[in-house]
Parts: sequence; structure tokens; C-alpha cells
Amino acid sequence: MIPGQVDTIVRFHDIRRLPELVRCIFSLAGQTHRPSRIVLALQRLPAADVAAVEAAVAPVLGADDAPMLEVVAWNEAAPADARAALLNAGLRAVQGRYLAFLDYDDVLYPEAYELLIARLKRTGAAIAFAGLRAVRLAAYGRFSQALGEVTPPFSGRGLGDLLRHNFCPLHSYVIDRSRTDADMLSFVPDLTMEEDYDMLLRLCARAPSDFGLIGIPVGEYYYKTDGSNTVATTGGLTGEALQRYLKEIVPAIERRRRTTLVAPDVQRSLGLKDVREKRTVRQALDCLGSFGP
Amino acid sequence: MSAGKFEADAAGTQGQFPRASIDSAVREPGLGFAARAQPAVNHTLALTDEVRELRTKLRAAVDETEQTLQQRDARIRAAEALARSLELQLAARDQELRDILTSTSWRITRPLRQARRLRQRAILLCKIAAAKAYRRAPLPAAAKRRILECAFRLAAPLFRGTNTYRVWKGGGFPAHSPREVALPAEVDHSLAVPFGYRGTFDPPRLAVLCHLYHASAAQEFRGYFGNIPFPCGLFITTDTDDKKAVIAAAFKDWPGPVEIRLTPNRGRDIAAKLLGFPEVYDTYEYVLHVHAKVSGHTGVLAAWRGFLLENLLGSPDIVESVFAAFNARDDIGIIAAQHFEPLRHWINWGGNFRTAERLAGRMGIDLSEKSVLDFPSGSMFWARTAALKPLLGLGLAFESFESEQGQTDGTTAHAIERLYFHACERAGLRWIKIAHLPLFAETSAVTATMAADVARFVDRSAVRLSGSGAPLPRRAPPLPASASAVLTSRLQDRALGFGRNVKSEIRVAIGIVICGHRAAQIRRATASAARSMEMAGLSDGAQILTLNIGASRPGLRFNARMTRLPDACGLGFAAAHNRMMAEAFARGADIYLAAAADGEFHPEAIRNLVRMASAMDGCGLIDAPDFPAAPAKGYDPVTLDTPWASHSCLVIPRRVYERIGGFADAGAKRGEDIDYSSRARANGFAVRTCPTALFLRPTFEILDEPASLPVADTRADMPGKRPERGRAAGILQPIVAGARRPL
Repeated sequence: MIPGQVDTIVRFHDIRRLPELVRCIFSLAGQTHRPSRIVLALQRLPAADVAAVEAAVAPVLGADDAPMLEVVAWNEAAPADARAALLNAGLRAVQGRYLAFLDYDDVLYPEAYELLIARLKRTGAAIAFAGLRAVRLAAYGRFSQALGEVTPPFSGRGLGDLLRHNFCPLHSYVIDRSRTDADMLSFVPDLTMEEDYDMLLRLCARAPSDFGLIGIPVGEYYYKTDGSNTVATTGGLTGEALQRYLKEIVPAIERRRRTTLVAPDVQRSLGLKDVREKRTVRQALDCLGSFGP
Repeated sequence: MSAGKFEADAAGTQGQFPRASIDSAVREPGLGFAARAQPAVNHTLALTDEVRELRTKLRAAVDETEQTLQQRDARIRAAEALARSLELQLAARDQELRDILTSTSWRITRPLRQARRLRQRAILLCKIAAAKAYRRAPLPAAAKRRILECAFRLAAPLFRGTNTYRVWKGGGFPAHSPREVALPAEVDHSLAVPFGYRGTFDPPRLAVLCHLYHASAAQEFRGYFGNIPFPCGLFITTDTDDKKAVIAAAFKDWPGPVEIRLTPNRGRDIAAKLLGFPEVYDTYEYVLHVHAKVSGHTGVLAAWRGFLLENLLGSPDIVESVFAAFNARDDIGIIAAQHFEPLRHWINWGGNFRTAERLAGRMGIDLSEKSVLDFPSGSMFWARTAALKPLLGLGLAFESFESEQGQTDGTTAHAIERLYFHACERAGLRWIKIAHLPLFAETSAVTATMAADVARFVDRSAVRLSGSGAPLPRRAPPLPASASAVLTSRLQDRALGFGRNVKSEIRVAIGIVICGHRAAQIRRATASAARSMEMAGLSDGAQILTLNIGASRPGLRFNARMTRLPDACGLGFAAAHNRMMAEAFARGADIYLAAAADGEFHPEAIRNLVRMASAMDGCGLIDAPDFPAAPAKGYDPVTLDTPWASHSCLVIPRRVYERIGGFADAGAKRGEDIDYSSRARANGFAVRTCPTALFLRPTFEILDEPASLPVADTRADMPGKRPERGRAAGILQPIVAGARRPL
């Protein structure tokens, strides 16, 4: 585990979206925190596309102190929707003490990691969360245009809210790996939605978390007008995706709440006075009622 | 008053020589001591007065400070009280909500809420099913349209957000459906341009008649006129002296004759083009009618102007094809663009038939409201002047047109727009339409590979509106369509200069004003500039100029391409750029690029900026948007015009500098770029954004924090790097939430 280093896992699956990936990598190259490393997990791209990706991002990482780049070409046949598998593949390649994620079509402000890691150091938490600005983005052939800030569908203030629903997108947090167990940092391959939330539930139920920067946006979460990143929380799912979300994902997440135990320290941080050894996330939420921290 | 003064004296001279004693000593006659002591006494008195005055001021200051502190304390107490009150209210609300959620009634009504959610899902599924059923229903188009209109009226909330609803809401479906008279799709053919062959012809005597009511579009039109591959006369009309000045500036160095004339603001572009330069029709054989059309009333028509210009003169090849057609058949009178797809369902007489009928009657044309109609929608076209003679012979004057009241239909101008093809036929000539196929999702077009193909097209496929050969009108309009995505891309590519090579001989100078910036920031800015220049192939002529106007000088190493101008502590930001600009252009730079010292260029940024500047022929300012926090300032996604160009990363071509100089040197720290943009626009230059050029800027100002707070890992943690001052994290000034770069 390299001290001080932040490893960012970026997943990418569609070569037609290469300009967006380059934009994302540019925002990582512009981070004020160093040392930094990018683990780029590619989903079943042919060798020529992998080379094209490497060639496209290389100029952005041309500065002397630019982040290092590790390309992980993931080529397994299953599962078809490999978003969780890509994250797991990226996890196997991380080296640094700090771990972060960023999807290829989103961006972080230059100071994001500097701020989040400062919070981790200051609070001793295993994971620190910050806010994001939700921005509507018109996608054209050669560029994207920000159309305006929108009210994000994700909202919350602290751990209690996170245990109730997912309001922390993938790039809104940094994890201190020295304060987590390896089994916390894995993604369930069968989950094709909310795979990150499932991981957060396991991690935040057992390790201390910090929400001190939740009101400070450290990046942007884009809602593209072409609908290419519609997620469940936007209410934008329709048809089969909606059916799958309701029939498979929601029950799976609820199962996770009912089987994941909340550590005593975390129970205390939730404000529960009657701390018990074997209390699940669901039981903790029931104790908190609807308006806990 | 005396008592007050005494009290003041008694208090104010405490510990000093009492003034009363001195006065009595001085007044004692015959005392040599007193006489000798007089100067000292006077001095003491003066000092005493001064001390008293200072004490009074001090007391006043202390009183004022105490008062301020008291007020502040009061405000703090009030704020604390308010906070407590709000906390109590919040707790009360939380309790209320808890009570509600744990109440029996809430539990009892749970099925109702579930039912509501189910209802929402059911509505969603119904919408999907209804849309499928509508598409598959075997009904005539007119009946489907009526069903759709009913649905929109009865259940508007269900349809908001759909394109068809927006078109309908924007007046797309006429309230009272006019008679269908447009050409049926099966006979509405065009000639594909450019042709598959190069025609041979002598340079035509061509006059471009252009009405620029929107003078800001002058640069855009100048770009399109550049596609005319032979000399032509340029005749431009507008309606005010200010606009005339802007247009004159935009065409100042146009390689050919340009005449600009003021016309009354009546009859829109139609009157201006027909009546603005009447002598042109006697001296030129061909005319091009164009105008700065702005169709802001419906979003789907936003790209209409670009569509027409791309079809009619989008490239030299297209213009050559037009004249190859005129040359192939001397009976072709008008060549217009095929209709813009989103507009097709509006091709009808609207409320203009009666006016058109009167005008047509004066031309000897017998119009029927039931006969087929076609016209150059948008009133832009190529023509032989002979084809317009019947219209010109009407003896119209500007007074023949209605005064401008923002009409969208029913004017003489709208009627004449619908009579161009009739007039052409009246002149004994034919009319045809052309289509640049990449701009159409679907259209029927014939490709000409030789002159005989053009002749064959006219004989077989060109329509006549009059006579026995006229086709029957269509029975139902097509459903509203969106503009093709290719069109938007094409217009964006044109504005971006995409596909152009950046000439390596272009010399770019980057100017960076340093004012309290850290050395690391400046190193990143200059290194990224050098990399971006290299990527653009512009390294040979590149210069990076810096000018420090701050009190301290950051330690920087300079290489051969970097020039540090002498420090000018206290010089304004604008003046500093002006100094570097003058230096850069004196050294032969073609482009000056003002860049913020805390920014970082994307490797492709300078290539994209220079390419766009080349596409604009150096006739405008271009800024690069701040990244990643999206800037508040917007821009037109098609033309890339922006209200003002930010000096955070701003391209200033030599041509602009030579015309308007540098920033206004008023010493103001902010607003000089807005002022500069206004001056540029007033001088006929465009002001645009290059969205493909990203310029990374900090989003927060991270302030110094007390040493007791833990410090973040920064670049200073890297081996061999010294920590830099002011980079401790924890205390933030979020710019993004402030005035600088919010959306």
C-alpha cells in the first residue's frame, strides 16, 4: 500500500465515448493531490480500441508529475453487463492507500482529492463523502454543453440517509484502504445497478464514515440529454430496465440491509443509545425511524 | 457650557499642569520668571490642547468601537436565538413527522400511497402502450393528427417533454388546419448537390442581395460568401446606422465591391431584397437572395438559417453545381433549397391566399386556393433576374408592405414569399430545388453526373404550379419532424473549423499575467501551454510571455521560448495584457492568447482554438470555457456565438487587435473582457466560444489554515518537493458556489 497515493478506478466500455473519457482523465490529471494513479478498466475492447484509448489519453498525462496510468483490459465473456466486474478488476490493480472511483463521463474539480483526503486524515474515517453538482448536459458530436444545474435526485445529509437510500454517487467519496477490510471493498458481479451502493452499505455499516463535506461540491454529475446515463434514481428507467430494477435490484439491496450488521461504533455514530452486537442495517433504520441522522 | 468645559478640562488634564494655575501665573505682573517662562507656558498650553483633542478623539473611537462590538454581540445573540428557534422548530417538525409516520392514520392510509405509486406506474405503462398503438393504428394521417391534438388538449401534462408536443405547443399544428396544397412527397424531387460532375461556364454576372436585420450574423454570412468561387457584387441592406457600421466593419477588407444601404424596417427581408437595390436587377444576370433569418419562435426551427445556407452555398462545389445547372438549362429561373424537414407540414397558404391572389392577379396569374403550392420556404434562393421580373414589375414600394409589428403570418411579405415560383413560371422559366443529402434524414433526390442529367431532371421531375401538368396537392401533411442531427453537427463543425489543418507558420503568443500566483501554478500553466502548442504543431513560432504585477516575484526558470517582461508592480490586469499584447504583435505574432496563470491547457486546446480562429479568418474573439466547473456564461450550440468572451483563456487575432487595440485600460480589475467583447462586436467581429478547447481552472480557493489542523497530502508529499505555503486543505472558499463560475 503506497502511502499518500490515491488510485482512481475509471471504467470504460464504449469506444465511441472516447472524448468523454479523455475529458474525465483530464480532470484527474488536474487534481492537486499527488501522488496519484489511474486504473483504467476497459470492458471487452478489441486490442485496436485499447491502443486507441491509450493513445488518446497519453497526451493528457504528459506532464512530468502526471498521474501514472494502469490499463486493465477486462475480456471475460460473462457477465454481459460488467460494470461490477470492471470495478473488481480495477480493485485488484490498486496500490495506493486511498481509493476513489470515477465514471468515464463525469468529472471532478481539481481540489477534490486534496479536500477529501484531508478529511480522512482529520477525522480518522475510512471513507469521506462530499457533494456533487448535478448538471444537465447536452451531448453533441464533438462537444458537450452544460445547460444548467438541476436539482439532484440524490439528497441526504449523513450516514442515516445513506443507509436509507443511495445519495452518494460513485465519484463523491474517497476510501482510506488502511482503515477497511479487504472484504468490504468488492462489488457483487450480479448487480447491474446500485452495485456501488451495495458496497457502501457494507463498508459504512462497519467502518467510520465522514460526511463533513457533503455540502461542498467537488465534482459534477452529468445528466446527458441523450439519456446515455439515466440511472434508477432519476426515475428515468423504463420498460425492461425498470422491471429489472424493481424485481431484482431493490430486493437485493433490501436483503443486504437485512443481513449486514452495523458495528457498535457506527451504531453510536448514528445516535443509537441501545447499542447491540447483532443489529442489522434494517434494524438500525427501524430504531432510527424516518428522521434519524 | 462652562461647567461642561470645566469638567472636560478636569478630566482631560489629569496628571498634568492645571491650566488655571498657569493662566494665573502668566497674568501676575512684574514677575520676571513669568515673562521668561511665557514661551514654555504657551508651548505647554498648546500641548495640553493637543492632548485633550487626542483624548477626545480616542474616546470617540473607543466609544464607536464599543458600540460596534455591542451591535455585533447583539446580532450574534439574535442569530443564536434564531438558530435555537429554528432548531426547536426543526425538532418540532421532526417530531410532527415522526408522529405522523407512526400514527395509525398513516399506517391505515398506506394502501392509498401504494395505490398512488401503482397508478403512476400504470400511467407510464399506458403511455408506452398508447404510443405504440398510435404508431401502428391503420388510420389516415389527418385522423391521427386530430386524435393527437385532442390528446394534447385533454391531457397536456402527460405529453410535456415530448418533441411533438413542443412543436404543437409552439404553434406547430395550425389551430384551424388550412387546406393541404403542398406537393405530395412522391413528386417532390430535388437535385442532389454538389453534382457528380464539374460544369464549365464563364464567371456569371452575380449580385448577392443580403438583408442583415441581425447585423451580428455578418461574420457568418461573410464566411458563406467566401464559398462563391468567382467575383460577385455584394449588396447588403439593413435598417439602422449602427447596424450599417457593424456590417461595414465586418466586410471592411472583403475582396470585392460591397455596398450597404439602409432600408425601412417594413416588409422584412422580402421588401429589402426586392426594393433595396432596384438597379441591380438591370445590371446583373443572376442574384442570390439571402438574409439573416432568425426563427426563435419555435425551437425546432433554430437551425433553419444554417440549413438554407448550407444547402445553397455550403461549399464552392455546391455553388459551382448551381451555376452548372443554370448553364445546362437556360430555362431554369430559380434554384431553391428543398424544404427544411421540421417545416414541411407548414407548407400551405396560411392566412396569405387573398393577398397573394391580388398580387398574382396583377402579374396576370390566376391563382386557385385548391391548386398545388410550392415556394422557397425561408425566401433564400438563387435566381436569374429574369425570373423575378414579374414581381419587380408590380411597382411595389416599401409603403406597399405593412409596418413591422412582429407578425408571424398574413403580411404582403408572407404572400410574396409564396409567389416566387409562380412569378418564375409567369416569366416563362422553370424552378427546381436542390438538396445537400447529408443534411436530410430522408428525401427524394436525383444525382446528376453530366449536364444531360440536369436537363432530364427538369423535363421529367421539375414541377409546374400552373397549367394542366400541375400535380394534385397532398392529402395530409407529414408528422412533425426534427432537424437532422447531421445538420447540427455540420454547422458546429463549420463554426469550429473542424477538418481544417492548422498551419504551422501561424505564430501564437501566450500572455500570462502573474499576480500573487504560486510558482507551481505558473509552471503548470506554462508547461501545459508548451505541450498544447507542440500538439498543435505550433512550437516553432510560439512565445510565452509573462508579466508580474504582484508585489512578490515567484521563482521561475525561463526557457528560450519564454519571455519575462520587466515587473510592473501595481499595473492593472488589463494594462498588463495590453503591454504583452503589444510586445507579442510587435514580434510578429498572428494570435495573442490571454491565459490565466492558475489555468492549465488541455493538450488539444490550442489546436482547437487556432483552428476555429482560422475558420473565422481571424475576424473575432474566441474564449475557451473553464473546466471542469461549467461556466455560467452560455453560448449558441450551433453558431457558438457567446454574449462575451472571458479573458480567462481568450484568443485575440491580429486583425482584431489592429482594429480595436487592447483592453480598455481603466484600471478596473473586472469587466474588461466584457467591454472588449462589446467593442469587438461593434466593430463587426464575432464573439464565440470554442467548447472543444478545455482550460482547467481551480474551483476552490483553499485558504491558509491554523497549524493545528491536519494538513492534506499534496504534491509537497512527493519526495524532493518542498511544501508550499497556502496549500493546506480544510478552510475553503468555494468559488463554485460564489459569483465566479456558477451555472
